[in-house]
Order: sequence, then structure tokens, then C-alpha cells
Amino acid sequence: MSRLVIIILLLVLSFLFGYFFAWPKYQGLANLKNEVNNKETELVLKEDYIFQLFSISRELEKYQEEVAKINYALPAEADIPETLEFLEQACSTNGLALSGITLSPKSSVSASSENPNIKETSISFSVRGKLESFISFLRQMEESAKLFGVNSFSFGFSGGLGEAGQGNEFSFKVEMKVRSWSNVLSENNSGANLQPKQVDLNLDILKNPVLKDLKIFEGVIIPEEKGRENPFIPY
Amino acid sequence: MAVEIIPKPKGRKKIKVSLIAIGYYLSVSLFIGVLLAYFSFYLFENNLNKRLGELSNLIAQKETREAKDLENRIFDFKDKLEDFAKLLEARKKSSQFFAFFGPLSHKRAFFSRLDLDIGGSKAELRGQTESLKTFREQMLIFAQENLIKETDLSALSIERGADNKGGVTFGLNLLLNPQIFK
Repeated sequence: MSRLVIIILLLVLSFLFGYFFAWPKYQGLANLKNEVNNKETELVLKEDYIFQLFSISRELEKYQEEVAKINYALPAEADIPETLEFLEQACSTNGLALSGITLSPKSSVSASSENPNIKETSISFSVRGKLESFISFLRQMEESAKLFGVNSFSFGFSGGLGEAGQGNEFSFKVEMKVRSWSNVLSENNSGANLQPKQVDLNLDILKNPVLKDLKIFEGVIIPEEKGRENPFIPY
Repeated sequence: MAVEIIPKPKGRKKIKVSLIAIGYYLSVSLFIGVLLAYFSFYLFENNLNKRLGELSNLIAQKETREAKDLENRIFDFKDKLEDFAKLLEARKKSSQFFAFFGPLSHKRAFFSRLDLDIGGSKAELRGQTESLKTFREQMLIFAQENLIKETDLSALSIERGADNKGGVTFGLNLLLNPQIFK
């Protein structure tokens, strides 16, 4: 076979092999290289992100008391019995008689108009006592970390002009709301993979002196005795 | 006899041979080069695939349940913190009304009923004064107070006694500045 034929044959083979095998391989390689670069970047980002998450978690541990107050103010479910116990205790402390508590039915627990994450349960109640006691009662409510929202109150004096005095008692009607919190956006965040994103957690509120002054009601009772053989007969 | 010297086509033949040889070697080199390139790409691809697998494993190791839970907790708390900050900012202290209202009450006026709508910053008052003069003075006090935006008289009645003097019973709606409750 003449060399010229071999040259032509080799050129044709080189072209065909290059075009159909080497070039696609090269392109696949370039894509693969990009993929590796992307994965390396993803790994670095995720490492940074996880480090950032753990740093924030450690930072939050320094504010355990404040975090507890925020979780107390916005629990997953409104703790109505605890709220009623608080009201009873606050009334008793301030010399007021509590009566006529009305809870909104479960169906009327509504999302706050300003914030869909916050659910509000309305409670209405009446108290009887002196005005000074009522003011003191309101102040005690305002000091609670629950951040009770008093919607309205009303009171009246049944006597006439000249009958009112320091010792007179009033009947007060109060409407308030208790809040619970659930993150309605959390479903968007429930993917299986970590997706690094900006964590701009502003911790200034945790240093707010107002938050420090708020109090957690510690009157929650832990049942000491439980278990009866027949709970359907009088104890 | 004339001698004709005809140069041998030596040079031309040599050049022709050299070009074919060069073309031959070049085409062989090209073919080998293409083959080598293909195999080096193949090896390189294997290495990259191996590296990709390692990276995927490393990423999977980082994405633990613990890390995902931590992420969910932190983002949940972040949202809760923002909502709490807004609540704290918007918080209204209803007891502040009494500190505000006491100094604005006329010494000879008696308020028998109060309906306070804290959200709407509205107060409905019922009261009595011993005379119209006292009532007018009370209205003037309210009018001069900057934190009272509007004062509407909703009811008024005068009860005259035998001495032609009598008390004034009134109803007032006050629209308050929400700053009162801060």
C-alpha cells in the first residue's frame, strides 16, 4: 500500500475517531469538571453554612433565659389552663374577685390580621374590686412574658354623684387574647437537603431591657398524685 | 561534439519523497495523538468521576439529620424572634390610660362609666358634673390635651333642682393617640 493511501487513511481515521470519540469525551470531561467544581463549591458553602448554624446555636445558648421567655410568649399551642391560673392568681394577689370567664370556641381561634404565624384565642372575664386593685392587676398582666393583649375593658359605678369614694368597688369586664405561634412558612423549609442561605439573625431583641423585665409565670402545677382504680366513683 | 548537460531530476525526487514521509509521519503522529488524547480523557474522566463520588459522599456526610434539624430550629426561631420583636414593639399597656386620664379629670367631675378599646384607642365615657360651667371646663381640658385627637359629645342632659341648679350627665367619645399606651 502506498504511503499516500496510508496518510489519507490515517487522516480520515484521525478525523473520525477525533470527531466521534475524542471530542465528545472532551466535552463530557469539561462538563464533569464543571460539576466537580460546583460540588467543591457546594461542599465549601455547606461547611461554612453548618459552621455558621452551630455558631448561632452556641450564641443562643448564652441567652437561654431570654429564649425561654420568647418560647413562653409564643408557644406552639395556647396554654389556656395556665393563663386562667395566672389570672386567678393575679386577681387573688391584687384583691379582685374573678368571675364569668368565657373562652372563644376553638373554631374562633384566628390568625392575627397582621401576622399569619400568630394565632389568637380570645378570653373574656369579669372581676370585681377597687380601681387601684384593677390597675395593679393590669400592670401584673403587662409584666408577664406572655405579652397578653388586652383588647378592651369596661367598668362602671352604679351609685350617683357624691356616692363614689375611695372604698367603692367596681365591676370590670375585660377582653384579652392569648397567642400561640406556628410557622406557616416552615413547610417551604422542610426539604431533605441543606440549602445554604443567609442567616441574618438579629439578636438585639435578646438584649432589650424590656425583655429582661418580663416574667414567666411559675405557677404551673405538676400533678403529684395520679392513677385511680375506678375514676368514676367519688374520691 | 557538443555536450549537453541535462541536470538530473535528483532534487525534485528527493523533495517529493520527503513531503510524503513528513505527511506520513505527521498523520501517524496525529492518529496516535488522537488516540492518546482519547485515553487521557478517559483516565481523567475516571479520576473526576471518582472525585465527584468523594465530594457527593462528603456532602452527604455533612447533611446529617442533626444539621437539618438545627437549620429548621434556627430558622423557626429566627421567624419567631422577628414576630416577637414586632409584638413587643406593638405592645400596648392598658394600665397607662389611668396615669394619663387622672390628671385630666376636673376636680368636680365624676366619671361613672368607661369603655376603653385599646386597639382602636377609643374611650367611651359617661360622667356627671355639678354644673354646666364645670362640664365646659372639663371639655376645655380635653380639648387642650394633645394626646386626645378628637372629643365627641354623644349625650348630654341637665337635671334642674328646685333651686334652678342641677347636675349635668354626659357621654363622651374620645379618640386617643396610641402613644398613651406605650
